[in-house]
Amino acid sequence: MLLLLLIPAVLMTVAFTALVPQENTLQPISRDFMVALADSFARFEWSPTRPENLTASCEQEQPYGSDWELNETVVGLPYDWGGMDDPDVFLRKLGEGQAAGSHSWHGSTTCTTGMDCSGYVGYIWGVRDPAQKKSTRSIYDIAVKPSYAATGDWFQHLKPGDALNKPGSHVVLFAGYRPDGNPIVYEANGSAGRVIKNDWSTWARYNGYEPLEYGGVIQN
Amino acid sequence: MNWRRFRTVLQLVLPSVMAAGCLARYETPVMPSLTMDDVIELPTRLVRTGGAAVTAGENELVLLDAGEEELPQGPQGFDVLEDGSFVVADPLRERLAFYDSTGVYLASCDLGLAPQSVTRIGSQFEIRDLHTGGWYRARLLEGEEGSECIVEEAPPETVGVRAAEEAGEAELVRDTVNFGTIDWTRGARADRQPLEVSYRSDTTRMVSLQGVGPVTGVNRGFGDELMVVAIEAASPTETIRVRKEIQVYDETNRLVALVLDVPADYFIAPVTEFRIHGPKLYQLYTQRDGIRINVWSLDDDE
Repeated sequence: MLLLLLIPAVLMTVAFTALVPQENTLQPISRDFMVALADSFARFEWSPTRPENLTASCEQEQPYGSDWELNETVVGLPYDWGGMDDPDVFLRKLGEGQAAGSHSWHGSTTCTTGMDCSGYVGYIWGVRDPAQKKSTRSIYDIAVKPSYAATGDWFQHLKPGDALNKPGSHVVLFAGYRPDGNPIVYEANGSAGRVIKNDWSTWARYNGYEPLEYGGVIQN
Repeated sequence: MNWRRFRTVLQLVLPSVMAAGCLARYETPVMPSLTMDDVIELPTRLVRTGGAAVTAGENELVLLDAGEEELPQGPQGFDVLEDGSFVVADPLRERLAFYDSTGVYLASCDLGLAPQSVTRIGSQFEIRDLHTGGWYRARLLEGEEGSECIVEEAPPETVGVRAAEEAGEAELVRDTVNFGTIDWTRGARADRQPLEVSYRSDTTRMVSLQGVGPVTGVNRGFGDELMVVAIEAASPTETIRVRKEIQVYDETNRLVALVLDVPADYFIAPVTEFRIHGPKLYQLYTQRDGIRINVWSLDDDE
């Protein structure tokens, strides 16, 4: 009799576990670690030392033009549309003759290296497998609404390591408030062609963006 | 109630209601609210591919349309020159472009770098390179065969000096609501008291505060030098929605005018949004269909 009750209960638990995403499957990451990692990508120094680093050899939708010059010192991991290569992978691919960075008009490329905006925030939030790379539409897989979301009080309760996301467009990592109330963010910025620390934009730039919190954040 | 009595009641009640409405927002019911005087449209070309594929007329500024998962690109900075003409940083074509005060193209000069911002410093231009973050100085040489820019690295001690003097040090006081200060005393205005900025609204909160800079020669009788302040305000919402407002203060730090019709729905967010020249406030405002400079005159033209 006991078995008859237990077996359905176990089966239901297994089925429920398989169907419902488990928050504890996300890697726990502290806010300090997120900001330190984000900052290291914005400070990352590199140079295109080979002519191949400035010319993409694979098929592109539009002719490739590099944002850089040969042997120029650049600070910030290059922006690569659809990419999620961390600095180690980037340097390896650069050494193999791949081009530094790309933009959306090039389409998906196999011979360029760097990170795009959602690849960057996803990486900071623990995504390492390129096959699992998030977009601004799928980043919700690993995000939750911040605890203050019910009050909508983003102008004073965002925490370092949270993100501001606009699906289909752009996502940035929040790092703190400036004294004048505006945000400091880290982002893989297509205009700049690289990962930057943006401490000049005002809140109006983020009209239409939604604050998000990493689902596995260690609240410190 | 006959018509005469009704009219008397209206005459008594209506002004009171209107004054109460003003007082609910600002202490001074006669506060001038300035409206936009002019919109200068700059020649613009919207393109879909960047890099070497960018083609446009010499007179046109270039906007790059947004792709999926990417922001649009284009000019983020401008300045107003002594004669009221404009210089615009045109990063996709790596140049400075010059327009007269009505938006007619005058000239351009190649920089060999993508300018994010441009600030006039005397006869030179301070430029920030979008792709490296480096700071440069450019000198415009005009010859028979066109204009040329001589570019060199900016001396570090000069970088951002004008911008810092105009903006002052703004601080939103966190343990209060809708209150902040701007301190201009570290610049050329050491004798000026720090400005206390209060924002009054029942529905929105001040989320940021910026000093725009001084404006002189305004004929409204407000005093010799006014200070212009930009405020962003928002309601608590799940998605960020910010509106913008300009406040103008006199030499005694008294609020003397407002600009409430400041658009903030940019196609490309500016790095240098506001400039002041003479008695006018200018805003770089980019929409998908073109780049505009919005103008408010602080003068009383009547």
